[in-house]
Amino acid sequence: MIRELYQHTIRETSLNITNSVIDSIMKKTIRKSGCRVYANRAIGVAGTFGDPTEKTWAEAEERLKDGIPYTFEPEKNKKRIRDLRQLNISDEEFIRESEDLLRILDLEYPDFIFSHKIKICETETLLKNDAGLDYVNYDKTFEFILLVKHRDSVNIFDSGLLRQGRTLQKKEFLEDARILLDAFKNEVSLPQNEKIPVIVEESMLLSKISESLNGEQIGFGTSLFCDKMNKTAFSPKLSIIQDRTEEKYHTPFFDTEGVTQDKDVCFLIKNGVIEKAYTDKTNAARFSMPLTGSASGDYDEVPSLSNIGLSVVPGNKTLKELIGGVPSIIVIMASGGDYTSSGDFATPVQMSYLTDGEKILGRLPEFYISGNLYDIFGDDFIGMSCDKTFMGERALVVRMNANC
Amino acid sequence: MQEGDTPHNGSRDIYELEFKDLANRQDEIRAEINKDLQYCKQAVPVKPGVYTCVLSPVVTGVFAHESFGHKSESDFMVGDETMKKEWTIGKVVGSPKLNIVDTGLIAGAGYVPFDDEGTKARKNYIVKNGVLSGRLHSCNTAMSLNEGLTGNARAVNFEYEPIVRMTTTYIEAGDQTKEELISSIEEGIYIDDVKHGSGMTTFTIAPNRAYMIRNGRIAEPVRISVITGNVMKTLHEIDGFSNEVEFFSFPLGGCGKMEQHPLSVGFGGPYIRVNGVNVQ
Repeated sequence: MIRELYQHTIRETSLNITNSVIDSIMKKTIRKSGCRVYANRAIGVAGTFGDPTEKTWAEAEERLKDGIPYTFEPEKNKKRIRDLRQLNISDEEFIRESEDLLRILDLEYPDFIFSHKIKICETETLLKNDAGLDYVNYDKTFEFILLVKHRDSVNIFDSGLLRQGRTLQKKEFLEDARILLDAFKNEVSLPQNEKIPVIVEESMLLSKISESLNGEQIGFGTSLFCDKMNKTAFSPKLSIIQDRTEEKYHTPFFDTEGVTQDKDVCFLIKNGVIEKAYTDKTNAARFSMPLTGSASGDYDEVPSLSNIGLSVVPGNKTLKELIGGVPSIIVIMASGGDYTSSGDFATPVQMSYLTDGEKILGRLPEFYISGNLYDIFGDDFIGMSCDKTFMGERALVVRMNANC
Repeated sequence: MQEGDTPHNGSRDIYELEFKDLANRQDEIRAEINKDLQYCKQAVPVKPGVYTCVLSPVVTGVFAHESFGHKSESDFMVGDETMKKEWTIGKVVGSPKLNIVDTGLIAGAGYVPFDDEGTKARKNYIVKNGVLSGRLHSCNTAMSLNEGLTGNARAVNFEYEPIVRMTTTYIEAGDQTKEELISSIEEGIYIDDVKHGSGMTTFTIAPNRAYMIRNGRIAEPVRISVITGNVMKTLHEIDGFSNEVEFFSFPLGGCGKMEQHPLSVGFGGPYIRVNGVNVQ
């Protein structure tokens, strides 16, 4: 019998912002431990808050009687610690800096109300067993997540200001805030082009690709990509990866089964060709697919496959170069849209700005964007920027239909 | 499931308070699978446009939650004079037959007899006869706005603080049948099932199954990305309510508000007819 501990610890200081001031502070340290035991091709799991006790391990052994099949060897004799923590700031200093930031925003932009959260979050994720597996991932980030509402607006909120990073980027956040809040006051019209470059958060457009690359769905023949494996389906400029590199915040380099990938990256779509489905051990074996290390699950669950976050590989062009001076849309809020089962996407865009790639030109009215998956990531795929000029993130640029 | 080259993800949410009530439901699930199979085989892309839509009870429930429920959560009003004026109790916000209720007293995922501050649940009319009649409160917001407690302070789990959240939100019944609602529509859309919704100034609903209505009858299935509308305009555009309310719970999902997701909530309503809905 092999014993294995999967443990996740979060330490967070969170400032609650109401009416542009800190109205409460929440500090928390929460550890969740999952005890797994493997024997006779079965797995037993028991979970507890805090560190496990012998009672937790005994419960996990008791669960072996449930006969949950697990026919794979746990990972053995592997050790790696990845510590991504850089932020070294006391809570008192963090609160002072945040109060100063809010004071500056309120002073410079009294017409706006700022709310929601500023926080520091530290995570520790470990997977260890008595067969020599010893993986630990540490990370620590700050997050500015401010909702913005104009004092005269009847919307619950009008816009958002976001930045996350491993160093406190107050100056950069304020620079972005000034650009966006100045542009907010300047209303501009939606360009009348049939299709227009749109800078959009990648997870919104990648949801269908994530769903369709699921190894279980491909194996059972219920994925949109069933007949497209190993074929060119998208633009040759498009590559999509499962990303466990340092680029991703609070993402361990290992999955919940302890599987890792070379350089923490696994290409699923390369140069437009769908190369791999993503899999856990069960589905890789069941359908004879490559194992990609995509198992997930909560601390007290049996590892299993579910939809994963994907990343578009950046190209070698900046946002300015990608857009090339063409009027383009930066989407700030586009909530509620989705793909149909055949890949047609549409969503209202509740908040966006017009840009030429260098300057923010003004605030756009509410409108709709739409497109088909194979167009958006085919002929209409412009690229993922190599720079992080906007809110500290790379920019995904695609052409989409836009209409009021 | 997949028929032809287009897959379809279907589901059936069954939520019961008693374990024994989960037994012998196979026929219900088979019927749902067969409905999905037919939809998967026959659905065609919708022609985008503005339509009169009939929403099934589960879609009505999500619509009530997204369109007006979130606007009834009073935390956004605290310290905001514009919003206090905009949301004055007594303001006409919808058609005269529209009643929207939130209550923690209904069995299901939104059953919250006492909220996370210990306030006892009650039946809260948010909209009564088309008039703004109340809003949802925690202790903090009730005190700030000098209004009564409603039993809506909820935290998604022990890791978070209670904030103002819905419980079970529903639209009350009217006096028509489903068939009567549909029969007067020359060309419209029946939204049968829903994947998810959202609500701010604009509400959105992503349908999972939808059908054209032609000459007063349900016709061919259509694939729709999203239906949307301006909340404050659309509530005036509801002109028909069927005579029976159904309640629903999504055991694997729930409501998201900022970082607190998924919170168990209930939904409900009758079939309703809504004019002027944007369909994409």
